[in-house]
Amino acid sequence: MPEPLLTAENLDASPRGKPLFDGFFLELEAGDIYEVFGPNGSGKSTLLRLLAGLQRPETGTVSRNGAGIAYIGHQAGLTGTMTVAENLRWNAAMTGVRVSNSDLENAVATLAIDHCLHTQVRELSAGQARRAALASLPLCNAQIWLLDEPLASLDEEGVELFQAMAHEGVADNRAMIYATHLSLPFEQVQTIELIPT
Amino acid sequence: MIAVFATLKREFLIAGRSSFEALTPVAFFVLASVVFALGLGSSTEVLQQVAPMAIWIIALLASLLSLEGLYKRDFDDGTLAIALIQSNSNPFVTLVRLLVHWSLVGLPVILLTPVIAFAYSLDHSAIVILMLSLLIGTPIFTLVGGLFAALVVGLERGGILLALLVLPIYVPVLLTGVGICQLSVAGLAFTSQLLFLSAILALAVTVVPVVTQPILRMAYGG
Repeated sequence: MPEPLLTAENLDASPRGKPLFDGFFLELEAGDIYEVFGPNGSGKSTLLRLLAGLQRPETGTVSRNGAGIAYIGHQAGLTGTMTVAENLRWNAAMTGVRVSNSDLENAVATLAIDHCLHTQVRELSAGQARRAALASLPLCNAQIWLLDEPLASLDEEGVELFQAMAHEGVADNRAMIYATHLSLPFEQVQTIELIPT
Repeated sequence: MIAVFATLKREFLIAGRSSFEALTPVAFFVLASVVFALGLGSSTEVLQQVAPMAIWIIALLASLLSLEGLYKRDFDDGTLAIALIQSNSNPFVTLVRLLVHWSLVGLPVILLTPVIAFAYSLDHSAIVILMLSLLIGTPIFTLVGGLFAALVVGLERGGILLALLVLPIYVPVLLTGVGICQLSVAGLAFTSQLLFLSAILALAVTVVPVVTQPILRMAYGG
């Protein structure tokens, strides 16, 4: 049996004394897709930050088996004064990857924003910026994709393109966890539902 | 190393495209130094006596002026989270950001010091010692200031708090730097003060990039 990419054991979260969840357990393997559901304030973003290692759990542990993480939070994670190409190159470089021009062009073509490649992010619409952020995922040397509301600001076409890209990523031995209010029709998707305590 | 070079390129790129913001501390240094000299009058003796203290204090304030934005912009647009997670908290990424900050604030201050020194009628040897002391002192301002900028990154309008936190830490550096210049003018030995300042710099270069990462994570509840 392959070793999990990420294991979370007995995670508790109660920011500012407000309990969100406790005893959370997860073994994430290559090819897994998890949707995190829950009403506003139920701890979806907190859970993703804990799994990403950005936030330290009050109890429990998160261990990664050497797998890299690509993370997109509420903000797109793009610098306004840099072009899409410059942002994507820097983003991938943070995981130790030097991106070739052809890889860059393929990545933006996947999300149909090829015409925005040399446009500064501050000139893009919110949907285009979200597509640009998502386009960075396959460029990163990361087996785990952690995405907080990846569908925010995306139009119907954007959602479909993201879905196709995610399918390809997961088929390429990656795993994905995303917080959402809108379920996506992935075949192998598993659901984590956070219920406010 | 790819992450480090990419960050170096990125920081200069951003500074180049926000040139007004990047040039503000240097413009402040030039204007404040000249206005201060004009305000002191034409007595060469007074100007020479006050020059090291004035230039050091204005250099300190110029550094402080730009500190709040060091991590704030990246925190707001989400790139700070990406840098922390995806680079596995690489301390060299932080070091390179601080280096770029110094090269945009501290280095121009040092390079402009000979020009400013004319307004204070400083002689050649006094200018050299002043530049040398600033060469060691201004990176300390950036490093120590960067640590506190990381501490307040998650706060709205953390600039005032940052100034309150960092100024008491800057004072010993300021006094030592000015002391070096005054001892030099008086013809006394200043090696021990110079070594003391260098030791603080060595300590800051070693410690600050490593401890900054966990401090930045605190802004996310880490």
